[in-house]
Amino acid sequence: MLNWLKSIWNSLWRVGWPRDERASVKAMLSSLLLHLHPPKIRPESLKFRATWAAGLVSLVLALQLTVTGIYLMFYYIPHPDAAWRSMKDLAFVVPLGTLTRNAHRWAAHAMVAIVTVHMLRVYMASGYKGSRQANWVAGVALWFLTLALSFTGYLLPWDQLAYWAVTVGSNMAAAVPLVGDHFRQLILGDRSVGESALLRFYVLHCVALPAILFLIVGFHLFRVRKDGGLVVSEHAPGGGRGDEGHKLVPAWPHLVYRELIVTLVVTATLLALALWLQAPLEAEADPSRTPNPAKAPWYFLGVQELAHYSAFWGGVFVPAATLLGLALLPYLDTHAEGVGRYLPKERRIAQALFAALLLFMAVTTVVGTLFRGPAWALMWWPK
Amino acid sequence: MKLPVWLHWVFALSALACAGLFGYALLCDAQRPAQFQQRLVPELAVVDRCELCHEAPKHPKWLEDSHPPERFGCTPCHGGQGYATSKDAAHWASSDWERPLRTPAEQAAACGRCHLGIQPPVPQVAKGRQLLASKGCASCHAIPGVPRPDFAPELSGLRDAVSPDFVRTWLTDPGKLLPSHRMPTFRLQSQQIEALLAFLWSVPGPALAPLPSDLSGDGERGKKAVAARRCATCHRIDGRGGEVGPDLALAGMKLQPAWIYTLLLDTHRLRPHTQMPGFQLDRQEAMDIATYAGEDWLADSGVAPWKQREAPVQPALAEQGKKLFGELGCAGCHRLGGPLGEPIAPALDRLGDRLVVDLPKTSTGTSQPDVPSWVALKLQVPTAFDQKGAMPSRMPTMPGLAPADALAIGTALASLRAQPLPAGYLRNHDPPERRLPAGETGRLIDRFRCLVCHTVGGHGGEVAKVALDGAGSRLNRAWIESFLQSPVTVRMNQAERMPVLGITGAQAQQLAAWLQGSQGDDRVPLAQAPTPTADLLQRGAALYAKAGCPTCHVAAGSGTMQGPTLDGCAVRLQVGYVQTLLTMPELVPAARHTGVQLSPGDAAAVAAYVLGLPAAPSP
Amino acid sequence: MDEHSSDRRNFLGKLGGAALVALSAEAAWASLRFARAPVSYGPSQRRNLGHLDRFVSSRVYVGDAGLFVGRDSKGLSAMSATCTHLGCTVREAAEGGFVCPCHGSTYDEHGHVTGGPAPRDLSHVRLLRDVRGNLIADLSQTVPGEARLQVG
Repeated sequence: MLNWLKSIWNSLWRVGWPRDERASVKAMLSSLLLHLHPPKIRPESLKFRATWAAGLVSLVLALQLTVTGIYLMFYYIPHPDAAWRSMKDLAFVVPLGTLTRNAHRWAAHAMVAIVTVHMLRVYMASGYKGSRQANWVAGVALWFLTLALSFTGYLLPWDQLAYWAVTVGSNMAAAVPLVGDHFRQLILGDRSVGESALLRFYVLHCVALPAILFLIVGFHLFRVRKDGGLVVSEHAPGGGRGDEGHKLVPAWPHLVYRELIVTLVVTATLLALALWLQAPLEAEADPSRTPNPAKAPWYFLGVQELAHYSAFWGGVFVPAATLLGLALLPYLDTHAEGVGRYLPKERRIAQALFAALLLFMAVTTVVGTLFRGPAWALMWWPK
Repeated sequence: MKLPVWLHWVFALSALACAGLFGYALLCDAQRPAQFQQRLVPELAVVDRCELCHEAPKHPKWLEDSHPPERFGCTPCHGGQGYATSKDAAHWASSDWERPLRTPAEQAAACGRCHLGIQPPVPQVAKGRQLLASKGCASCHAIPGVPRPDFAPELSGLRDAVSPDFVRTWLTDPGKLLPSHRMPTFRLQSQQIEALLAFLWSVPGPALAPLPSDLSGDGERGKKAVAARRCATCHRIDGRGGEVGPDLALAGMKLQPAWIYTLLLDTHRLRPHTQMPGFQLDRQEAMDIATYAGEDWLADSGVAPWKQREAPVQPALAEQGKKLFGELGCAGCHRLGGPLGEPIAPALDRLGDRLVVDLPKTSTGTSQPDVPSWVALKLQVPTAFDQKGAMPSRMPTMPGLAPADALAIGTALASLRAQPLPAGYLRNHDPPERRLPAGETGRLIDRFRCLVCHTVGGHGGEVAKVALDGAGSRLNRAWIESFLQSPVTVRMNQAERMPVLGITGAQAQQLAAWLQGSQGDDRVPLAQAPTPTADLLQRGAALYAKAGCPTCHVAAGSGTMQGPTLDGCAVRLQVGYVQTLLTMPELVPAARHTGVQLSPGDAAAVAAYVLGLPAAPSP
Repeated sequence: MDEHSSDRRNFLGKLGGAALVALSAEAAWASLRFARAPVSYGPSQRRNLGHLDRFVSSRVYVGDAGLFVGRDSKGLSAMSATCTHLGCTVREAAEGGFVCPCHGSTYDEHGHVTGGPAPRDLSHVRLLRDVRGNLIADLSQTVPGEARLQVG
């Protein structure tokens, strides 16, 4: 009987708990989840400074957002008459409803930040050169999808914050010459934010965008694996090429265990945040009453700040040019120096350019978030 | 190569932290019941969970019956957050909920969201709405449901009527001249007053009729004419009289006789929108009254009489005054030879949507408990919310506004919200729409301004106690005609009030025909007087005494004069009316017949007796 | 030393593993709690069937409440139209009584089972009258078939 149960267990895992290097390689190759990793990796890839764990944290957050999102979908009704009411139900009557919503909200904010950090790190280590060009573009797409998911999810609570943030955001899209208004009506399904916009954002947020995101994530991870893991400096042992002459360690348990730990730390942090930091829910969306100022979520406030100066140049041109520039970066900057090292001397100009862009984004975001009061007037004291 | 020990530590601690935090979350949630009861009113989008704590609401029975909780819920009246399941969240405002439980004034305002119209059964709101109309608030603010008033005098040709000194005093402190004035005070500086004066002096009015050189006015005769025409019904004269029109004491110090003379003869050409009826006087009488009214009644008032005209105005100053006239919104109340100006102040159509925390604070930083009291303070001290450095408030101070009145106005305004309620919840408490006949009859009713004093279908003034509704079923046509031409009171102990308008026989016929033709009362049948047998009269006389009629009426020389004299009333009253009133005391509430209810047979007998009374010999 | 740290590794691994098992159990329990709807937005169990004047004939079908309201000399009664087999709505049969269209259960006019797979007789629910003279059915309370609401 015990043997029979054991046979069921073994049929599930095929390989037992790996106790030596050979078994661990076998395990890595035969398991669906584990085969995304190479069976053996360079020990320096395990160091925190090599990755800042940013890619993994992004993935963990994406998974947690999926799980909490599915739970929220049990109670959420994507209709203007009921959407806000369902948020109130989550807040007051659904067991663990507040926790679930808080976790979803803070994970979403964190993901925008962490994905950006991930991109920054890869840029600094020149992780977009050589065979990694296309994967950088995939990364930029993932960054854009993260923002799009945040933006679509922002509307769903149907409170004043959501309604006006999306009204402002969608009107920025309308500043595109010729097709802007058409594009805005395409995403809103109507001339203003209403029933159809809510349904469209819901479908995009819960079905379309996550599906695309995870497809690209699959591609992204596959490419990392095929390109030989993390970028390595040419000065490092092994010189970033091949595995010869260099001591590798098995991914099981060294990498997998660390990944598990990162997952747990992220989960614990998120739980703590969700327990003690409440996600805001303002009054129900009221098209007749605009809050002053009507602000987009913080990660769009840089753009909103720019749009304050010119709807087209600030709201459309600069973001579009930035996105295009980021996507084309691996095809413009093809020098092979400095790969795998942070702040290499050979890339002073590139670093300075990127730092300037980052500083510009940071300053506009901070100004837009903290120093803009009613009627978008400058306030010297953040409220 | 083995994993470092610290990694195991991190693993164990983070796994424990996850399990611990999740367990803590589950523990916090453990007390929550698995099932919550809630009251749903889908039409009002109400989800109320108040009854989780408040078991049975303690409402008076009438309220429970007229506003059953299954149709109204709790929060539409009481406010607060119906979704909430904790005391604090349900009752108080937080970053997640803007509207706490309503204050009493806000609750009254909430009644006013469904109870529309000028006479809702909510005293605070009714009073507020009536004040909004009578104080002329709608002249400057667009307020849904409040008509724009039109009671302020026309200002074109002001220079023909009054003296500059009068205007100066009036604009500084109207109460000094007329304690019952309606014009608010604008806190003007003397330089601004001079500018306004210059502008007003530059606007010509209709030409005045020249004082006739062939006639000379006689003040004494004029005084008698004013009494005979019963001007005191509307005007205060020597401290006594009505308040529909201005105090005639003012006339002497402000008006020039030519203007008075023109007004009396051609009232509606000079003042198309006045409430004053068009008296039909001859030139001599008008001259006499103008002389009388133009006498200097208040020599000690400190205001120079009109005769001291001033030099022509400077155009620059007039231009300044014109600008000021527009800025202050004077044209909202006063015509200037054309239509009224657009309201210049903010529309008040959604004051109830505002949160008192978002409204301006006072300069000392104190905030008000609710929107009604914010409005009340604004009304009483219009400058209370002025910010340093910003433009001062242009809102004038309303005269004679008690704190309770101000709060009532605030309550009525707080009942105005943008989002409409479902039609099934709304109740209109406005009188039915006003319909006046077209053609000659309509022109006569307008000319004599009948509705300034009388009501028809709930519209009109209440100077006269007698509504015209049903008058055609009460009164004989011949009597109406003679009354209109020479009105005499039927209540001996009361002053004559109906003005002697000089209505001609043809005009009186026309108006009487209108009253009889279209102001009938369906409850009153046309009846012929029964043949007055001695038996019937005797029975009627006995019942008359028994029913207590002499307590109010005079008949055959005895009784008191509370009610109309009945001697000779057959000339005045229709048979059917007398019979019906005696069986149906609620027929005419103003008749105050409550408590007198006879059987049809008895009523017929009393009617026969009363209508058979001979007219008393004139003294 | 090596022995020592190996023990510690084992202990910490087991502790963390146990915590993960606990976390899974908590997550499963939380999912069950979360998924049980705590409030209902469905129609109330107390249904207003309309004014008493409506119910003068011997049987009136109230479709939105799923009830047959019967009237006899003793008063009013309300019988559920929901078949006790699998919850379809029964119809009045041409030959008297009721028949369920789904699996052919039949009932007589008092709701007693006369054939088919139905395990129980049709149930009766409690009737009330409100102050405005409306008939109210409380679907959450069943009463014996003989119970009547007396009407004047």
